Amino acid sequence: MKVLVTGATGFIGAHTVTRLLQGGHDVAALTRTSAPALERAGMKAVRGDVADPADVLRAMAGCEALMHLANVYSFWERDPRIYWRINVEATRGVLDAAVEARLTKVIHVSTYAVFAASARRPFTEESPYDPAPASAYVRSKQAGERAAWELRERRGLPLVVIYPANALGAGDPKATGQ
Amino acid sequence: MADLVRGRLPATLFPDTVLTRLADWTGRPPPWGMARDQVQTLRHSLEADGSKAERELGLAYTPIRRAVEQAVASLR
Repeated sequence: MKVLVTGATGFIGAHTVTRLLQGGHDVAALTRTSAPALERAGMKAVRGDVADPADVLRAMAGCEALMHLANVYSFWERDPRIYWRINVEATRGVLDAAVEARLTKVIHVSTYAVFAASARRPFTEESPYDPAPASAYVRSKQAGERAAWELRERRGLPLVVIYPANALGAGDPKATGQ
Repeated sequence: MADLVRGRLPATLFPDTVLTRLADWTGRPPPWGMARDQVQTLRHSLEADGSKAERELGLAYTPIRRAVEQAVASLR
């Protein structure tokens, strides 16, 4: 299966690409930067911006499935509007393109933090969202996920959402890996 | 954690509001990413039930002590 991965150069993304390649899949990735190790391993890098619909369509050509990992994962940004631009608007654009391209499986990577402080503890995938998220990041992830479910409802997006908890380990460029 | 690293853990105070205001003023991220949003999120209840992943995906969770051991080893 040919799979497009967004966010392929991130911590989870790089591991995901490696496992997909090991599983015999063809992997294309929409990336802003080069990823020599992944490209040597067989990933086809398509240079572009996840917020640019033309770049997304170009990267998606010939693909059957999508793993959408690209997002702004941080708790401080010089310009906080970037959370909305990438985690909501670009997510909606990528998933819209997936409908147009008639992909057969779309995996959207959310975060378990969308359920934090839910009325039900411990929370599950069925729990209501955190009514008052503590960060702009989580607020934008909730909104991006709502857009994804809306596309599933309205346009038949073949959607699966996964909710990773904190991913830790060597190679993580965030504070959790330092 | 203290047991695993054979020592006392350093006590660190993160004045997250001050660090965030400083970051806003300088335009540079706060040290270790410890912005107010980060600290508030850590204080939020993040108590998750992972039984669906165990049931449907066969995920096997690592016992907490072993997981911390592995994390410390990977970061050394």
